Amino acid sequence: MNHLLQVHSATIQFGGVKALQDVSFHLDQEDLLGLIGPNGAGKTTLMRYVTGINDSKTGHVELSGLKISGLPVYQRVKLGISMSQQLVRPFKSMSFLDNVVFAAGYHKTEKPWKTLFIKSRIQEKQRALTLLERLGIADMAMEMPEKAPLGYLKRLEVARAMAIDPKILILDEPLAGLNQREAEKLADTLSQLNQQGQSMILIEHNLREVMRICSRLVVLDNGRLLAEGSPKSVLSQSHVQEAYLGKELHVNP
Amino acid sequence: MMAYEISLLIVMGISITAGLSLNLITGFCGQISLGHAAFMGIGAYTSALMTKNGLPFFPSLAAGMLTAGIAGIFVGLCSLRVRHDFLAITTMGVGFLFLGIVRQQDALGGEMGISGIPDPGLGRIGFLLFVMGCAALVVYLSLYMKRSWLGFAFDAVADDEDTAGMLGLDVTQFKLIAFAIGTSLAGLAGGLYAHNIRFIDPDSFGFVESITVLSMVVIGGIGSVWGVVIASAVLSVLPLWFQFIEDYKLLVYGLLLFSVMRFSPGGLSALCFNIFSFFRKKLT
Ligand SMILES: Nc1ncnc2c1ncn2[C@@H]1O[C@H](COP(=O)(O)OP(=O)(O)OP(=O)(O)O)[C@@H](O)[C@H]1O
Ligand SMILES: [Mg+2]
Repeated sequence: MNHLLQVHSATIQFGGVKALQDVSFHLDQEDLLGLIGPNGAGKTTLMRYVTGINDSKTGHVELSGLKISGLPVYQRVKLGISMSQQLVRPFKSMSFLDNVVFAAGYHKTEKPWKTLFIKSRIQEKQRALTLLERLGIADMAMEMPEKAPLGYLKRLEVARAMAIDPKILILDEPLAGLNQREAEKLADTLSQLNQQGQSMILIEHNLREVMRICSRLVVLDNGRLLAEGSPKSVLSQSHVQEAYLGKELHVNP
Repeated sequence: MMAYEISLLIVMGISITAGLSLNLITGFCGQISLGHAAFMGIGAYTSALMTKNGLPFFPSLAAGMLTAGIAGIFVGLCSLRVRHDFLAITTMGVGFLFLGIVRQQDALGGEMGISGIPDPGLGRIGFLLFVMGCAALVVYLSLYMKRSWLGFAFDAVADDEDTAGMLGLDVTQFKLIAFAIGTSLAGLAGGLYAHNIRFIDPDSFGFVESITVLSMVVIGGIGSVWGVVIASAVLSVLPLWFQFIEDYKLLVYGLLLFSVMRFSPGGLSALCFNIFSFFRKKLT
């Protein structure tokens, strides 16, 4: 059996910075994979490699056994990979609702020439509203993103990524900017979604929530794969504790 | 109606068509072009050469749209990788390339241009009605497009094309569609222009003309259909009324462009909206 997603030895360099060195990992159907590691470890870079924004000199990416590296971003999205960004990028000319409506209409924009003859947005509006409600930001539906707080924009990113009905939902630090109560609630929502069958990769610094909802962890440090496995087994390894939690563990044992 | 008024209205109608054609590319899809006059030129030269060789007016006009549109797709393909300032420079280059080619070709009249372009044979009033009909159709198309998913996708591309791609949009195709429709409509405006003045030369489609069309779009309010209609109509007749504007076109439009960008980036339509909201706030 093929894994749902398999990355083979990705190596990515930005000028002199080695962002990733020979990193391989996989994601199985209905997994909720937590991708953790200190700042600058290469988590975002690795996921941007999967979606096709970053290119690796070596290695490749397989989706259900099908090689997808080499395809442009939008085609990988159409094959079912969708990612919410760490640095939020809402469409500034559109309301919260329209941001999600546009994403939810992904099947309407599939054949570009036909879009001139398609008008109705009713179904997409319905879907978008449901998503906004599920993520607890429906109160902002008609607002423009410009002055919205970060926590809202983060969840708007998640809503848009969900709206395109992906096979793999990749979320880059969706809990940042939320208070502990909101974070817990969103983590619950994500966990629910996962239990309904959504395969997911979650990049997150909030270890408490990661431990609570993820079924597997992959740890990166300094561009290298440090560990992978069940959350408990991974976090009990001493070199993970050292890399991730820094010296504080030794200072206060 | 007096002949003079008819002429004014014809000029307005052609210029509305031209302004809206660039608005589709720059306003709707967010792709700046500093060489739009070249596509009007391609439409003008194609249709003029055809009617001069005895072909009927309407098929010639359509052929002008077609050649301009094909050139537009080609230029679109070549500039897919460039954005913003670089796109501005590339399209400006296309404009100069067009001029350079036309100037060198004897078959295209070279520096002398093409004179004695046949009358379309509709009569002055008939031609006016036809021009107005074209302008009205382009207005309708623009408004319709804005409400369709094509317009929605253009919004997304204009806003942030990387993010649009991350949501599965084939950005390339949408840019090409904008270029194809916008440039073929520019070809239409060019064909109408050629058969209105009945004389064209390279200078009719030079850099100044490209800036003039861009001014219409920016001053009207990038993307706003009615704003661009009004700005195109007004800016097209100003040089006919005030000789100094004709003499200092580049200076005047350059200044206008600059002040709009500096003081009201949304153009006239945003300015009106702001004034309206200001007074509404005062009243309540
Ligand atoms: N576009 C880029 N150009 C140059 N360097 C980059 C670029 N993107 C990432 N880097 C560098 O690559 C390394 C890995 O960055 P990355 O964003 O993947 O880390 P991360 O694990 O997501 O960190 P964080 O938790 O802070 O988001 C960092 O040293 C970063 O500075
Ligand atoms: Mg990151």
